[in-house]
Amino acid sequence: MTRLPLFASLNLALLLGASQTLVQAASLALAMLAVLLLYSLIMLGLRRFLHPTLLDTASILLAAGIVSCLELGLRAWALEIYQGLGLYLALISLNCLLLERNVSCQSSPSLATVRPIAAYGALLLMLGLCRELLASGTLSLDVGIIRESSGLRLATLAPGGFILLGLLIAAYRSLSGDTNSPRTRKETLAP
Amino acid sequence: MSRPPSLLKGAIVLALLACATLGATLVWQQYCQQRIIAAEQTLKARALLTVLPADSYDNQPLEAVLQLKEPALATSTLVTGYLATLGGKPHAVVLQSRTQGYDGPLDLLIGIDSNGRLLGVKVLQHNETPGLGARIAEPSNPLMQGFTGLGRTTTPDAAWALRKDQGQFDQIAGATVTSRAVVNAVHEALRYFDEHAGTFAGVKTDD
Repeated sequence: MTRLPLFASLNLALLLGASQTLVQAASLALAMLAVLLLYSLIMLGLRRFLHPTLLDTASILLAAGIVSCLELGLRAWALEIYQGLGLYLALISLNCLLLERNVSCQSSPSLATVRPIAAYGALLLMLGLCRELLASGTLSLDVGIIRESSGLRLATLAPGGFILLGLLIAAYRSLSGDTNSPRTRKETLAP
Repeated sequence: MSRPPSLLKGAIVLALLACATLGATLVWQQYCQQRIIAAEQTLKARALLTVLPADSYDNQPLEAVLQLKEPALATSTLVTGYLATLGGKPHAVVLQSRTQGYDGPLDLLIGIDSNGRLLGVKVLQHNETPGLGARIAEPSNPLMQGFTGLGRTTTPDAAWALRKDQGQFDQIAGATVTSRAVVNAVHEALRYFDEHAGTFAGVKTDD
């Protein structure tokens, strides 16, 4: 069973907001990977010292700290990427909290915790690729935000991204032969 | 699962974590501060100078700030001006003009060469309607591209208006107010340049 719909639905702002171009999506995916790696490494050490009721507070603190440092670093060394991502960078900390929830559902860390993140990253990259191709017809590896759209303007806007996301998920389901109706599918999330 | 750790121990670890994240962020911010300022300046310089061809200056125009007298024009205000020199001689100026668009202030960068001809006009910042007035910011916009090479010698003052107002410029469809504001601001900047060209030579340089 895939947890993708749950993980993605809680991060729609990030998924739709920062996937206008492939470069934007790729830089966000990289930033997310770095943050999540650092976060899980530190949390791995901390978790056994923390009472379960304090876990949420600790993960918020840690996620916010890591993301702030990343934000400062990007501003200093890659300002254009930072401006392209804008406020969406801070939303990465939300992904850390979701990862935390996901881990605490499992008895032991396993492949199942990594899968939704990989799927999320893949979806982000696919969205970036499709939206840029639809909007401008070409792929530019320029860091700056594309303001001109010679193709489908809808693809640059959030609603267009949302429609595309639906199509991508539908395509994934029909390709993977996943015939389960969404209603019988049970998503579990720790209360 | 094994015996959960005690609440007190957890609280101490949490407090330590709070101090550590806060401290690390502050130290990192101190370390990055200089670089951030430098990076922002470089980026701003690049944006400001896109209206000048790269081979048309050899100084640091951002450090050659013009002293603009009476910067308030009829419909626009000149915010700043920079002088680009080539081989020690004034070659071009970049004027930053703020006018009123359809929806809030509209900031333009206007590059003018020493003969009073436009080198380029670019939108720096705007709040225009997406799909209508916002098309003014697209690099290939015909109205903005059409300005290059024009001056008050090639185009008489009366022609500096939209076709609708008996001028020579085609407006952006559905964005009359925005187009008119831009044409007026560019014309006023050119007129200002002609009237004050003599004072631009003696600029104050910071370096």
